[in-house]
Amino acid sequence: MTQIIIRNGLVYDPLNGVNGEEIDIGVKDGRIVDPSEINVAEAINIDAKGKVVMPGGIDIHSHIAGPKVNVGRLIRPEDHYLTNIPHRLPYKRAETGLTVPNTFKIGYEYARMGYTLVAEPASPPIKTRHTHEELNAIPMIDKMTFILVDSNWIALDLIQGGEKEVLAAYLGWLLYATKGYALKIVDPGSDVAWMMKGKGIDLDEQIPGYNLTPRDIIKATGEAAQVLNLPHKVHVHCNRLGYPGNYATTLKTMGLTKDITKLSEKPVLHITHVQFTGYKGDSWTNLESGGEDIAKELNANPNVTLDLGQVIPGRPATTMTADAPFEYVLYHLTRWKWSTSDVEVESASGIVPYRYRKKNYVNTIQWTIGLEVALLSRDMWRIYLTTDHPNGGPFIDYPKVIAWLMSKKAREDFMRELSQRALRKTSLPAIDRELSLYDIAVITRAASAKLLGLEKTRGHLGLGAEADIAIYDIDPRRVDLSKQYDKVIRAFRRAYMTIKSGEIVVRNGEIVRTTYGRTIYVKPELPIDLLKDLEKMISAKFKQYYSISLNNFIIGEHELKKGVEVALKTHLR
Amino acid sequence: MYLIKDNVFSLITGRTITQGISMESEGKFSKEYFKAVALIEMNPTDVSKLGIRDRAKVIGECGEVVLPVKASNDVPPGVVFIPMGPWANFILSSITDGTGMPTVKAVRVAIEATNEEVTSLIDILKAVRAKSLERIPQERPIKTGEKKVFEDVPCPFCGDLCDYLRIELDGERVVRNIGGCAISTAKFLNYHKDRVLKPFIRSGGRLVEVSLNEALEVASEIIAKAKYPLLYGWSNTCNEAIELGVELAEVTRGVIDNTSTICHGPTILGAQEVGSVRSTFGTIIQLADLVIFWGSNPAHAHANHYARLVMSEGKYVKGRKERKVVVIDVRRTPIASMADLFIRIEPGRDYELITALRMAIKDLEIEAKEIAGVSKEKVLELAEMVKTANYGIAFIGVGLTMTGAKHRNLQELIKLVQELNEWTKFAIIPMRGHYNVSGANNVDLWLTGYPYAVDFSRGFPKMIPGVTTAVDLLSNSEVDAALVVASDPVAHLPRRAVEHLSEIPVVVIDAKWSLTTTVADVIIPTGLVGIECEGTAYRMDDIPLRMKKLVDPPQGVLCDTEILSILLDKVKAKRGVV
Amino acid sequence: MAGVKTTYVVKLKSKPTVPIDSRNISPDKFAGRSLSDIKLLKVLEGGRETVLEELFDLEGPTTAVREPGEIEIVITGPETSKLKYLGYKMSNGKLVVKGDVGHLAGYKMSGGSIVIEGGAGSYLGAKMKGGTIEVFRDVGDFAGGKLQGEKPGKGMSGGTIVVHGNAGSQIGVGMSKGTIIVEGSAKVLVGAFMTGGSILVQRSCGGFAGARMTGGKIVIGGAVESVLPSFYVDSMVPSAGVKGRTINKQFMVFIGDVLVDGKGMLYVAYEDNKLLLEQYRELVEVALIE
Repeated sequence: MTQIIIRNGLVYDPLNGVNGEEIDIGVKDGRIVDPSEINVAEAINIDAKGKVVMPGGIDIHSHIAGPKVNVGRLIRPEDHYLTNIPHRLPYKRAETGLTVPNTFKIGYEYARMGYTLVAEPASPPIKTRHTHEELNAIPMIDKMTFILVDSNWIALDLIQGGEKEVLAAYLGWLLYATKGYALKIVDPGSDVAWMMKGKGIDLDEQIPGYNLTPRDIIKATGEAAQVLNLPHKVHVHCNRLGYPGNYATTLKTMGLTKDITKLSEKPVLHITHVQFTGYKGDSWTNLESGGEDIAKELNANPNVTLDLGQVIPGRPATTMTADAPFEYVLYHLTRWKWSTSDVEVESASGIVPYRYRKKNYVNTIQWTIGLEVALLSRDMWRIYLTTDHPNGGPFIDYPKVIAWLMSKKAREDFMRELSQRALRKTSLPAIDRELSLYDIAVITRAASAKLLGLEKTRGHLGLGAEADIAIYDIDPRRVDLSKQYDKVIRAFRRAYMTIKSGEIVVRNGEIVRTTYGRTIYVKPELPIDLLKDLEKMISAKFKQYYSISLNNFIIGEHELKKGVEVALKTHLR
Repeated sequence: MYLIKDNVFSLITGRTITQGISMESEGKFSKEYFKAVALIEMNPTDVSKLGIRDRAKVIGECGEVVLPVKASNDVPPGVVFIPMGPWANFILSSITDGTGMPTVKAVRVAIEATNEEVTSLIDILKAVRAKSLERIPQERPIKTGEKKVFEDVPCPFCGDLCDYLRIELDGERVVRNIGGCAISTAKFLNYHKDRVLKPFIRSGGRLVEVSLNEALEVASEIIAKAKYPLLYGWSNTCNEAIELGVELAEVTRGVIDNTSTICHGPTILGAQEVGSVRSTFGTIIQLADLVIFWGSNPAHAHANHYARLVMSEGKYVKGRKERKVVVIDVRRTPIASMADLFIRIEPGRDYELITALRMAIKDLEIEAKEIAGVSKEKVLELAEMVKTANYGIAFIGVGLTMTGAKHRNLQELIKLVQELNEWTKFAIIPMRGHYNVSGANNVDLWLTGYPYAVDFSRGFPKMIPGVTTAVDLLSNSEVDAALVVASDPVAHLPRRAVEHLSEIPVVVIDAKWSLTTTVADVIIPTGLVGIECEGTAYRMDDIPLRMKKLVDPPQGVLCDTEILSILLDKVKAKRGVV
Repeated sequence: MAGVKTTYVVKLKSKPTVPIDSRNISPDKFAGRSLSDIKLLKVLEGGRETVLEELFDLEGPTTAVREPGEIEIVITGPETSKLKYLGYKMSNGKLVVKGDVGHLAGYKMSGGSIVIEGGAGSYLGAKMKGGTIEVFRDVGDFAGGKLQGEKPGKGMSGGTIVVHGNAGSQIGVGMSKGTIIVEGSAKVLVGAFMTGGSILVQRSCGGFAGARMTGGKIVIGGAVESVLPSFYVDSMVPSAGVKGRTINKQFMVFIGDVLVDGKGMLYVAYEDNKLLLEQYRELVEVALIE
C-alpha cells in the first residue's frame, strides 16, 4: 500500500484541538500513522508548505442517490445540456449535470472539493435497493443512507399500540434489512395525509386513519433510536416545511428533545436544512427570517443539532424531498415541471425544479436564514454546512457558503445584488462575525463525524484515523481570508490534493484516478426471542400491506459494492 | 373524422397472449408463433365488403404481406389489427416523427382480397436480406433427480415482475410454476428449449462453432473497430449487465439504447417535458377506487395484472366491488368487457380526448360536439368520474405511445393527472413490457443523466430524440456495427431498420435463438437472468427486486455480466484504454 | 451580411458510414485561419476524432479573411446527408450545401445564411437566433424547435427558415420569434408550445397544430387532420399570410390554446377543411366576406 508523508502543511484538526499548526502527517495502509513509521525512501513526499491540511470533508445531508434523485435526472434533461465534461479514459468517466449530476460527477466533484464521506438522507425502505445501486456507482467517496420512517404504516401501528420495544426492534430490523445507517423523519405523518387526502399536516394535527400526531412519531422514533443506540440519532425534517410561519413548528420540534428519554450523551434530534423551516411571518409577502429565534433555541438546548440548508441565489436548483405535499405547493408557484411518487406503506416524494433569484424578496430572506443561524450559533459543534443539495443549491457551491461565513465583505458584496427590501427586515447585515478556518473545519468535518458517531476514525487526522485528507492551496498567513474571499472560494472548490483511504485521488484540483469507496450501515443486535416474535409480526404486516414478498425486501450484504457493517449493542433485552 | 376510403384501413398492432406464450415456449420459428402472429383481425362487415375468403394482402408504406384473416367484432369497421411481430413490422414505416418511436398504431394500410400464399417468416427474412436462415437450436442438458422448491421467485417476463412465484424443480427441470401467468409458466417450463448453447461466428456465410474466447475476440474486434456502434436491447437482463453496457458505449463512443425506445420511450419523453405522477402497486391495492386502462391490454400483455391490482382487497378499498374500472381503447380488448365504462376512441386521436378532459376539468367550454369519436357528454361524464375518485390510477399502454401525438399524448396525460391532484389523488403507471426495461432506464439515468438513446460520440452523454434513437440511427444507416443483448430487434423494429442490421456486423448475446441471430456475425450464448443468473431488476413502478438464480447456467455458458466484463476488457485493450 | 469575398469548397472524399459532426465547417471557424489550419479543424466521424482534411478535400484561399461575413463555404460530396451540426452557432457568412444534410443544421445559428440544395434532417435551425436557412427539398422533425425538456419559448428566437419541400413533425415547437415557411405540407403538432413568431404551411398538415401555443401565428393553407378542442373559433377572413407571403383563400381563425390561456392565432383554410369546420360556422359572429 501507498505510503505518504505530508510535510509543513498548516493542519486544522479540531477533533484533536489542532488549529493551524505546522505538523507532518504520515499515511500508511490507508490510515494516519506517526511520520516516524513512514519509510521516506518509498513514500510519496508532499510539500504542503503554505497550504491548509484538513481531514476529508463530510457531508451529512446531500441527496445524491436513490429513486428521487434519478427521477430528478429524468425530468431535467436540460440540466445536463451545458454541463458536460468529456471522459478521460481510463482515469475518469464522463460527467454531466449540475443540480442532478450523474453518479460520476457526484463522486468527482466531492473529491475535487476534498470531501470523502457523504450521507444520502432520504431513502424509502422498499426502494433502498435502488439507492444502494446508485451509491455503488458513485466513485471516490464513502457513503451511507438514512431510511425514511416518518409515515411507515407498520411503525404507526406499533406507535399507536404503544409497543415501544417492538417499535425499536422493528426499526432496528429495518435499518439492517435495508443496509441503512440512520432513521430519517420527513414531515412526519404528512405522507399518510398526502396519500389519503392530498395534503400535509402540522406537528399537532391528527394523522388520517390513526389516533396519532406527528409529535408522537418524533417522540417514539427518538426513543427507539436511544434504545437502539444508533450512532446518528434521528434526522428530522420538520412539519410545515416551506410554509411561512413554520419557524414556530421548528422551535416546537426542537423542544421535543426534553420529552425523549436519553440513554446516551449525544444530542437527541438533528433538525435538518433548518433554513427551509425557519420562516417567520404569515404569508410570502411579509415573510421574515426566523434565524435569530432558531439560533437562540439552539444555543439554549444542547440536545439538538442543526444543518443549514443554505440557498444559493442565482443558481438553478432541483427541489426534491420525501415531503410530497410541500412539493405540490411549490409546483403551484413554478407551474412548470412536477414529479411526485407515492411509495406503498412508507412514504411519498416530490420534485420541482426551482431557481433562487437574487432580486427576489423571499429568496433573499431564505438566503439570510441559513447564514444567520450559523453566525449566531455559539456552539460550532452543533451546526453543519449543507445546501440540502440540490434543494437550496448544488453542493459544488459549498465554497461560496464558506466564503460568506468567513468574510463579512463576501456577504456585503453579495448583498448588493439581493433584494434590499428583504435585507432591511433581517439581522444579517448587522452581524460582524467571521468564522475561522478552524470553525470551517468543525462544521464541514469534525462536528460532522461526531454527529454521525464516526469520530473515532473519521473527521480527524489523529493516529489510526482513516487517511481521508484534503489539502487546500491557501495560506492564511499570506491571504487575508476576510477580504480576499475569492481566493477562499477557489481553494475550496478545487483541492490541491485529496487523499482517500490513503490513496491520492485528486491532484491540483483534478481527478487522477477513479476509485470506489465504502457504504457504511448499521446492524443493531436484537435479542433472539424478540427477533422471532418480530419476524412473525413483520411477516403478517407484509402480507397485509406490501406488494412484494418479505424475502425480496431484504437487501443482501453482497448487493453493496463495499459494505462496512457497524454492529450496535442495543438496550433491548 | 376518420376517413375510410375504399380499401384504406387504420392498422393497429399489439401484443397478444398467444404471441407471448408461443414466443416463450417454442420460439419465433415455430408453427405456434406463426399461427399466433401471422394474422389480421378485421370487422366482419369489412371482410365481406372486400370479398375476402380467408386471406388478405396488406399493403403498407414499406411493403406488403399476405395474412390469414380472422373476422372479429372486437375491431370496429375501418380498423384492422395485426399482432406485434415481423409481419406487422415488415410493412411499417420507420419514420419516428423525431421521437424514436415508429408509428405502429393508427397506420394507414390498403387491404385487398387475395389468393396468394400467406407470407412466411422465411419470405420476410429473405426480403430484409438476413445473413442466413441457419440456426442450431439445442435443448440444454438437464440433470434430474433432486426435488427443490423455490419460494418468492420474481418472474423474468413482463414489467409486473410478480415476485410470489413458487417454482418446483426436479433437478434442473422446472416442473411447476405456481402463481405465474400462462406466459410465465411457458417461460419457466421451457427455459431449456431452443437454446444457444455454443458460441458461433459467421464465416463464409455459415455459422461456425468456436470457443467462447474466440467468439469474444471476434466480437471485441467488431465493436472496437467500429466508428459508431449501437448497443441495443438491455431490457431482458439485469442492471449489473446494463451498467457494463453503458461503460462499453462510453469506451467505444457509440450509442446505447434500450427497448423503451420502441415501447414507453414517448412516456419518458413526456416526463422529461413536464414531470411525472407515479405510485406503486401496494398503494393502488390499498387505496385506489378508480382504475383506468388507457391504450393498454393487461389481459394479454400482463396477465396477472388485473387480478393482482384490481381484484385485490386493500386496507381502504375492498377489492373490485369498491373500484371502478374504465377502459379507453380503439378496439374492444378483452379487458374492456370487464370494465364499468368502455370508451372507444378513434385511432391516433388520444391527444384530442385528453385535451377535452383537461378542459372539462377546468370548466372550459368545449365547442365541438364530438372529440376523437367520443361524444361531448361522455367526455364530461368521464371528467366527473376522475375528478370525484378518491385515488385514481391510470395504467397506460403503448396504445398511447405509438400513435398520433406520441410523446405529447403522454405529456398531456401527465398534465391532466397533475391537475387532477387539485381535486383528488391520481397517478400514472406505464405498463412496461420487458421485466427490466424500467431498470434499463434507471441505470442509464444514474450513469448518464438520460434514460435511453444515449450517445457518447463526444466523450460525454447526449440524448437527442429522433437523432440518437435506435430506429432513426438504423433506418438512416448511421451506425456501423451493433451489439444486441437480450433482445430481438429483427422481430420488433420496422423493416428499414432491420435491413441496416443485415448490412453491418452484428454481435448477439442471447440465451435463445431469435430472429436477430439470422443477422448475427457472432452469437454468444448466455444464461437466463432470473433462472440461471442473479441480478437486480425494476418493476414497472420502479420497485427494485433481486432476480434469483435457481439452477446453474448450462456448462460453458456464462451470465451476461461475465460476458460483458470480458468483452469490455478486450475492447478496452484493443482501443488502448487501460 | 457583408458581401462574400472568398469561397471555400469543402468536398467529402467518400460516402460516410456514420454521422460526421461537422460543426467546425462554418465561416466563424474558418475566419482568419490559414488553409492549412482550417484543414486541421476537428471533426468527429461517429465517435472517432479526426481532422477536416482526412475526410474532406478543401479548396480556397490560403488565408481566410477575418470577417466571417465575407466567407462562403460550399459543401459537396458523394453523399452529404450524414453531415451533422453544419453551421452550428454561425454568426455570419454563407454555407451552401450541394445535396442533403443531416441533423441539427443551423442549430443555434445567429446570423448569415445556409442554403441546402437538397433536404435536411431533424432539428434544422433548432434554437436559432437569427439568419436565414433555405432548403430546397424535405426537412425532418423539430425544424426551428427547442430541445427536449426545455421550456416553451426556448426554440427558435429569430431568423427565417424557408422549406420548398415538405416538413416533418413539430416544426417550430417552442419557438418564440422568427418565421418558418413550408411550401409543401407538414406533419403533426405544427407550432406546438410556441410563444411567438409565425409559421406558414402552404399545403396540408397533420393533427394538433398549435397545441399549447401561448402566442404567435400559424397559417395552414391546406387540409388539417384536426383542430384541437382547446382552440376557440374567432372569425373568417378572406386571406392569410406571414411575412409578405399571402394565401388568398378563406380562412377560419381560431384563438388558443385556451388550456394555457393562449393568445395564439391559428388560421385554417376553410374550403379544404369544410367537413371539419362546418360545425364552427354558426359560432362565427362576424359576417363572412364572400
